[in-house]
Amino acid sequence: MRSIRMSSEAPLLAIEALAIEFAGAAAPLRAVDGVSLALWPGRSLGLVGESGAGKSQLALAVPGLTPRQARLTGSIRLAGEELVGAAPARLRRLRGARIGTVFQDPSTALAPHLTIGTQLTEVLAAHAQAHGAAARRAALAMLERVRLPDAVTRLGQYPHELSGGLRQRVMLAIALIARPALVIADEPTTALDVTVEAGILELLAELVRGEGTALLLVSHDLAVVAGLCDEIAVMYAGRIVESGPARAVLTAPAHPYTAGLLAARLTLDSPLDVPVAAIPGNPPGAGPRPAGCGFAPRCARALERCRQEVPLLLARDHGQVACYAPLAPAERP
Amino acid sequence: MSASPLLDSPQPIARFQTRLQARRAFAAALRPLFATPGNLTGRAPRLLRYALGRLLGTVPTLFAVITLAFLLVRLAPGGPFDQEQTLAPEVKANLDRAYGLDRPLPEQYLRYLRGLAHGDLGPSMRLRDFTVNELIAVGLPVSLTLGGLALLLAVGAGIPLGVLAALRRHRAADHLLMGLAVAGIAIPAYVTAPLFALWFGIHLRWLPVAGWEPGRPSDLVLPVVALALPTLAYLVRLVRASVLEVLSQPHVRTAEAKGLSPAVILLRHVLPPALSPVLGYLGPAAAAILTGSLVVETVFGLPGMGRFLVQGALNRDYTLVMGKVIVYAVLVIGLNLVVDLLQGLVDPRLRYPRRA
Repeated sequence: MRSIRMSSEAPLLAIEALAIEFAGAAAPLRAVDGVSLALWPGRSLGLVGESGAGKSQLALAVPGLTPRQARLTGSIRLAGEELVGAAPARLRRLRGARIGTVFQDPSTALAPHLTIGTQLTEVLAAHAQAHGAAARRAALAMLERVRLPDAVTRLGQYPHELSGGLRQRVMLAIALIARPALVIADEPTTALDVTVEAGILELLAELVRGEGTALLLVSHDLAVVAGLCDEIAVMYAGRIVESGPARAVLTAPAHPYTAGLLAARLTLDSPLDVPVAAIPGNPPGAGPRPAGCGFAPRCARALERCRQEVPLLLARDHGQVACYAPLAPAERP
Repeated sequence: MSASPLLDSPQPIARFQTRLQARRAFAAALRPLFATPGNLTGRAPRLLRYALGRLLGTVPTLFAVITLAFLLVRLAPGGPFDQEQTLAPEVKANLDRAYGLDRPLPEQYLRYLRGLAHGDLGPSMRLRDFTVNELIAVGLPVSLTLGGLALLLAVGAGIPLGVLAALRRHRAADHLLMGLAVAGIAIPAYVTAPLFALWFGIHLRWLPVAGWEPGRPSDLVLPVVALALPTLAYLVRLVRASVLEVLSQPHVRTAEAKGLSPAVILLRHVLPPALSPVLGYLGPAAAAILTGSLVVETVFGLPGMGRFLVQGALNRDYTLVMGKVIVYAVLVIGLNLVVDLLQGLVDPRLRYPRRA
């Protein structure tokens, strides 16, 4: 991605050759397998892929929230500072202050026994940004920014007194109250009603754009990413298979997997009598991965070479693609 | 407070703050552990009303316990005056008349209730110079002292050790603590109490073997430890499991993502929800410890009320058994009520029953 964005500015987030491994019974399990990506200040990047593609592990590795038993190799740099192997105390100072995180399910991600006010102000107190009355004023202002109705009352309420959509607004407020440079959003609307989803996404877009915050959005939903992100990276079996400007990837996919995902989408005017164009097969499980391209076993275009060598992520048209048999522009849906 | 440019009106914040401060003071007095203010003062009348309602709700429970206990002790064959040597029929008839045992059962029951309503538990039928009130007045302070100290020891050591085991999961400290806890739960007091007396009292001569003299605290050490041990061991396991359960919950990861210090995460985010099931266990456990243990009191020669139930039941000392049952029931019910209210402090979702 770096090669295609001719930006003179240094990236805010630069991930290089990142691998995340878990100890397995026989061989280590690689959730993330050599991923590189970059994110510039004020830009947004959508990580899409199926469950188990490694996208959440990748995103949560940035604030250092991967499970303790995970082994990280490679490099994650935030504004030039290396985070892989950084001291826990150093990571703690970045979390919440420089990196805000929005989790998937606000009904479990908020502490049930603490008031909304406490859950907001403690972020400011932890990073010595504000205490006491000043922190509560900031919390109130933040709740108003996420357009929580009746914000003053909400400060003294508990999460169970709020609806799911309002809870996710609180989660956004927690992630953004310390004005971080980077927000990681891990499936921020997956646990919400469809009717609530649009409002949350709109709010998220507004908040990051207004503050010039960079956004790393993880989602399995192409539509969510399409509406919110400047760039898209498609993950499959722990690797990025295609990336580039959102519009280019969504309208002219080069990787057969991306094309398959797009073909499997349903819209309101999809004909009811035509079966959905599903990608045959299942993504590889947590065990050892196939030798070559992870997608080769499910790929109609796979060549002999695809099963032996891992294709590199190389520049092509407007983005990058890791495929020996990419779709030519004319073949694209 | 000056108006913030961020806000339209500072008025609601001022109100919020006064309320918050008041709550903070109240909650701080109740639970110094929790860094968060409870939502109490603002709703104190509701809490009071709730507590009173629950208190009234205990009356039928207590009544049922008394009635059942009364019937059960009378169902057992024999009576207080049936002993190895048979009494002359005239003597027994006189005794029965003196204690009202010649009356029909419903009348005896009503008489007992009438006495109870005046706080009179009746005369002991075997310890004939004493009323049950007198016996309890002597025994209960001993048991409460012993049990209270044992409870303090069990909670004071059990909770920190359980937290330690959870934080050091699968490490040496955890394995050691869990091994000791299993031993503590499995070995009953009738094994540990005599062993303690033997080792620390007779072999090492560190502490008195037995006895009870007011103003001699060394008398208390061994019985308190023996009494506390099973509860302490169980608490270590319970706290460990509960803390691990909370640590695995997503909201703890949110706390980490906020960049909070490990101490704040533990004290504010993990312990309050983890202690909720522990409180549920402690209510009945405290009642059992506070009313004394037959084994511990017998081994260490303490004049508590632990032996009342067993001795009373064996001797068919109806009134003594009833006395202990009532004290025990009042403690169980009362402590469960306290636990319920405390759980409301820990988990706001349990605070008040929602109106439909």
